[in-house]
Amino acid sequence: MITKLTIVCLCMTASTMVGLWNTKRKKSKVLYFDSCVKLTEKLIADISFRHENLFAILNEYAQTDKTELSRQIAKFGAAPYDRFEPDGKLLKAEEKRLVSDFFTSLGSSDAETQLYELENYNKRFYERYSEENEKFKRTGNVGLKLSVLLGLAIGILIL
Amino acid sequence: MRDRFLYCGKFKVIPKKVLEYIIRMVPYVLEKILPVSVLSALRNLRSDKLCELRLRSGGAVSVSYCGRYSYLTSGGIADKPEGALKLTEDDLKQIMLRACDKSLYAVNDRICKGYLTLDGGVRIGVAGETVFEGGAIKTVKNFTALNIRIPHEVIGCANKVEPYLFNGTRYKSTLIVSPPGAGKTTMLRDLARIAASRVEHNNVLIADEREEIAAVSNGKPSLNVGFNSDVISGCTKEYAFMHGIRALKPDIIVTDELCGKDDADAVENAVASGVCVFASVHADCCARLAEKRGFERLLKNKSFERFVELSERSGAGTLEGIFNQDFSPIRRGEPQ
Repeated sequence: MITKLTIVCLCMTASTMVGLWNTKRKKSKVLYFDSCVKLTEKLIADISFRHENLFAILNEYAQTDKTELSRQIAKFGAAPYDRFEPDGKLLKAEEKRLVSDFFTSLGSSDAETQLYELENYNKRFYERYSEENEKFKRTGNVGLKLSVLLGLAIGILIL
Repeated sequence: MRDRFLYCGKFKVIPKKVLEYIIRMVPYVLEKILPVSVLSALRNLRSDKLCELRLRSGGAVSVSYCGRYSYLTSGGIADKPEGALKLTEDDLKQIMLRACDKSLYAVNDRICKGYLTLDGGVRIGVAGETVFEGGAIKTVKNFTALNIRIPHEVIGCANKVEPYLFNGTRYKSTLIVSPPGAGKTTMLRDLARIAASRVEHNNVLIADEREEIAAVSNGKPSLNVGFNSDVISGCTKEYAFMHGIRALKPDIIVTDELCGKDDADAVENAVASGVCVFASVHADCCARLAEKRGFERLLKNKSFERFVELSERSGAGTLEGIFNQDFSPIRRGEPQ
């Protein structure tokens, strides 16, 4: 009996872990795009009012950020004059292109053009954020519940 | 022993090998912005003899080296453009992006005025396609040429003229006159240093519109302008003079490259307020000053009591003469 219960528990734990990992991945994408929106807002404010140096703004932001974006800022800072190519599996190809265009466009034009571009990226990042947030609300918790149930079902089937 | 060491002051000696290394060092700010090919070529030259780098989109790179123009090749310099290094339009854009730390928006107003000043007073003159909007230049794009000027701090170069500008109690307002590249800014900087380091305690205000005199970086002058000097940089002379006189109570104002009526008016107001002005202007010689627009009243009112004429005749900074306010010579030529 104890062996059977252990098998069921193991299956449930494993599937819950998978569910949690999936939920965290979706959540981190929401947080990532939320961070992108905040970064563009900071850039707009700091460029409009202080004409602050780009790396000073990015470094200041990266210190408070806990998402994938801070790692990307560090990567951009290491080779700022090359085309930026985001790595990792968090983003889809289309999203990577958006982020790549965003970083590459930074600091390459006059203030007016730069602010116009940033407003545009802010909108696009906000759209991605809303989309991912909606998706997370719809499927995030359900996915976790389903994975727990799936683990239970697998455990029972094994028995 | 004397062959291997350079004697510097009373006690210190610098090994000749170290000195040789220092002389060949490319200014660090250029290391940051120039392409590898140009940097490697520059390492074959002495940085103390290098005054200017002219980079043209699709054209041969030329340098002002040892007082004359030559073409830069991978092995050094050449008189003919064949075999000279060439840069593309993209290279020029990369240089500009590196020069502004990838923050073009932060320096666009200066680029619109045709230049960008870097750490250490290195100045990049910019040529390209201007974008006009509402009657004003909005930006410059598609850079076609860059002229990188490397300042040379020559401590003591103004020693030969300074005694003629000081009457024992105060300095006389002085205008340094020379064609471009003859050492006006270097002499002005050294005059500022001498005046701001005197025991009489002169408060020297440096109105550094193009940031070439003091080359302020992160709030500190990167060139020696004396310890009693205050620097207002990156603004018009009119603003620096007006606010400087009101707020900083200077004894002397030092400013570079007077140009047009507004600058002349600012100088006239300062002199009328009892402030001594050291300034410079582009002109062939003192006799041609009256032909410059905006200078008629300045000369008529005798705002400047001394004129120092420089040329490149025997290298940059050659003293042609010192004149009084009636253009009568006080001394001619270099001191013996």
